[in-house]
Amino acid sequence: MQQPVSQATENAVRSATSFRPNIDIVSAENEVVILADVPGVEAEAIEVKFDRGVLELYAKVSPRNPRRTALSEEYAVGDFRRAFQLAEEFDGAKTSAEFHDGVLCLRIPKAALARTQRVQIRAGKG
Amino acid sequence: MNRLIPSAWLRPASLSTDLDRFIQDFWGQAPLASGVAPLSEGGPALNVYETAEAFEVELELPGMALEEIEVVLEGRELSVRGERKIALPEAGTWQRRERFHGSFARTLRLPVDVDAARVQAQLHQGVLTVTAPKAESAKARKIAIQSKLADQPKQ
Repeated sequence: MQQPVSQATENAVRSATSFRPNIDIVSAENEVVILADVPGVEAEAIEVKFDRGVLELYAKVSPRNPRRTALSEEYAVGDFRRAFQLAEEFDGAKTSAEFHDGVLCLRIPKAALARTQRVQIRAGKG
Repeated sequence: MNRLIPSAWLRPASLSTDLDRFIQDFWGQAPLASGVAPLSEGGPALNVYETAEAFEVELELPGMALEEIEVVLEGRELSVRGERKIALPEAGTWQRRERFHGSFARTLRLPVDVDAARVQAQLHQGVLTVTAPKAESAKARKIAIQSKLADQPKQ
C-alpha cells in the first residue's frame, strides 16, 4: 500500500487533531471532481497542496464563541484535513479549487496523455 | 509509484490524526444532555449552546441556501427542516458519496421558554445558527439580599 509522504513532519507543525471532511467524488471524461463539506471555514483558511502524488486539503477553523455552555453536542468543531493518493494519469499540480457556502470543489484534470482523444473519421470516397 | 486500477483512481489516504467528528453515528442516536432533548433523529447533527441571554442551536448545512431551510418554533420545540439536494456536476459518475443529501427534520426541546418574536437564524459558510433569546421570565435573576437587621424596629 502506498502511504502519504512526509506525514510525520506535517503532523508536527499542525494541530494535533483534525477532522476528516465528508466528500463526494465524481469522475468525468477528462477530470475528477472532489466535493468536500468544510462548514464554518473561510476561503482564506483553506490550503490545498499537491506533493509527490498526494493531494492534501487542510482547512483551519476559527474557534467559535467560547463564552457559552454546550448543552448538547453531536459534532465536534475543529480543523479539517484529508489527503488523496492520485493515480499517475492525473495532473495534481493543475488542480483548481472553488469554495462556496462551506463546500470546497477540487477539479483535478487528467494529464494530457491520459485524456480521451477522439479520432476524426472521414468517409472514404467511392 | 504503482499505477492504481481505474476503479480506485482516487483513493482517500488515511492519516493517523484523522478523527470522526461525529460523536455518534451521523444518522444514529444523539446523546442526551441536561435539559435539552433532541426529539427527532435522522438528519444533520446539531449542537446546542446556552449563554446568559439565549440558546444557540447550530447545524452544519454546507451548500444550502436560507430559502431551502425552514425554522419553526412551537412552544419550547424548535424544528429545523429542509432538503439538501446534491446534483451530479456535468456529465460525470459518482465514484464515492459521503455527503448527506435528501430531506431532513431535526426537532429539539428547549429547557425554558424563549421569546418567539426574537428568534433569529443566520447562515454563514454552511453553518446555520438559530438564536433563541430566553423569555424574561426564564432568565436567571440575581436576588438582592436585605439585611434583616435593617428591618427590625428600633428599640
